[in-house]
Amino acid sequence: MKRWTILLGRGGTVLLSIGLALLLVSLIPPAQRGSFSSGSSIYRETWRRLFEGVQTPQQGFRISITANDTLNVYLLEVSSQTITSWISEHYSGSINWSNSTYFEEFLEENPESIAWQKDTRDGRVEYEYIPTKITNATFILSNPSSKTVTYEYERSIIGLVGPARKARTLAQWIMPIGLLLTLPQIIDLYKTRKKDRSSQLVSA
Amino acid sequence: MRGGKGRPFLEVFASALHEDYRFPILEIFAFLYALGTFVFASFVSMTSGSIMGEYAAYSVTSSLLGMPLFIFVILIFKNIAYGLGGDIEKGIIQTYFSYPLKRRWILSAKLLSALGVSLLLFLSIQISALYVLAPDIVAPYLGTVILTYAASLSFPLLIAGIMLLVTLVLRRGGLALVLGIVLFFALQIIHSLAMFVAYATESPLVLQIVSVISPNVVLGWYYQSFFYMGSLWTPTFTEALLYLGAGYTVVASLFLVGYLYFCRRLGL
Repeated sequence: MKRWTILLGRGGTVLLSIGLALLLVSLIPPAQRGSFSSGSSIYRETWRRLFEGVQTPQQGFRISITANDTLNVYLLEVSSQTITSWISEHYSGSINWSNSTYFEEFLEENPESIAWQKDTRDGRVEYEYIPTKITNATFILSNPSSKTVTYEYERSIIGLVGPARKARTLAQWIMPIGLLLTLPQIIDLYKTRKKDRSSQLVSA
Repeated sequence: MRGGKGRPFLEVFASALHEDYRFPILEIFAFLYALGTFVFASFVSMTSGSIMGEYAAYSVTSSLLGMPLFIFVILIFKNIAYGLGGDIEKGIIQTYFSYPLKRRWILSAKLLSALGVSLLLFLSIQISALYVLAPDIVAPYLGTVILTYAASLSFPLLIAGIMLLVTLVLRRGGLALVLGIVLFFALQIIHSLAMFVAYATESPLVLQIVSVISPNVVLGWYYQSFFYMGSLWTPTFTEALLYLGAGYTVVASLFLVGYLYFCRRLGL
């Protein structure tokens, strides 16, 4: 067997084993590490930070919110300090920070910061967030209506071995390449065995 | 190495590769590196607060190194003890001596297979995994990532150098392998003890001594000083680099002694 065939073949089998490891990583289900539930009211035409924190590809959260009226729910990939800094930069004097108009203007100016958004028109909203990179995520509720809305939420932290989707995509690319590289060696092995068998038959 | 010497060198290298990485050794280790890298990666330091930057890069890279580094150590120890030791014990090395190749090139080919290929596989899997897990850390802080790897690999390479010498002197691999594993764990214990002694004596001297053989210690203290000002030891970046340089000088000296012994004193 030619050396380059062996070299390619071994490279292929190594890629196959790395792909298998990645596939295994992607198949390990996320684990719930703890949950927290709370509730409150949000005044008319205001916004509120529900929680914020650094999320990683190994740690995300699952949240469900129920409200007695329509609330806009946002997941922003910025800290709440970024929002307040933006408001203070654009509006001077004594202002009501929690006014939803300022918040909506911030969103209009920074649409790239919105990772996800939905409203509670149907009464309940559920979302699972696992970032693909280390992200400062802030969960915000905004009440643009003219009446106070009461809400309840339950949040659970979910832990993963790694970013399952990325790992699966990588495995899907790596494994066929590995198989392709191994193919010449497999064909060579098959041919050699066939030749050996036929020569054994002839000598018998 | 010029002209006709390339082919014999490649012959020895190919033979060493064949011996060190028989199917499916390389595949099993690649699988373990990849799986271990993901399973042991930890972003704990970042979830506790909005800590980003150099420390985050150091912290994530260090967390990735835990078990996969141990797997890497097992592979290089096996390759040196059983690969080179086995060749000396069985007399295969004498066949290589008959090649039109200087002894130093024979040892280079053996070490390139035993250490170089393992290191290449280990680093390529680890850095690729880092790109998958934390691309926003690796790209801007690649220098920190490389520095962390350099500091963490110094200690295993030091023991590999000691193992090489022991294998050459004893001309047997089994004992060198046992000694290597014992040394690896003994020095891990010494690391922990050094920390206690340093705190008890309120002096960083012991940590400084340990940093010469394991520069990861000084690097850890350097990055720790980002948050805990006025701690026991606050080394500067230049100091950390100096310890790293000293560590690799010790490693290079050991391998140099190994080369000299193999070329001049190994009477086979």
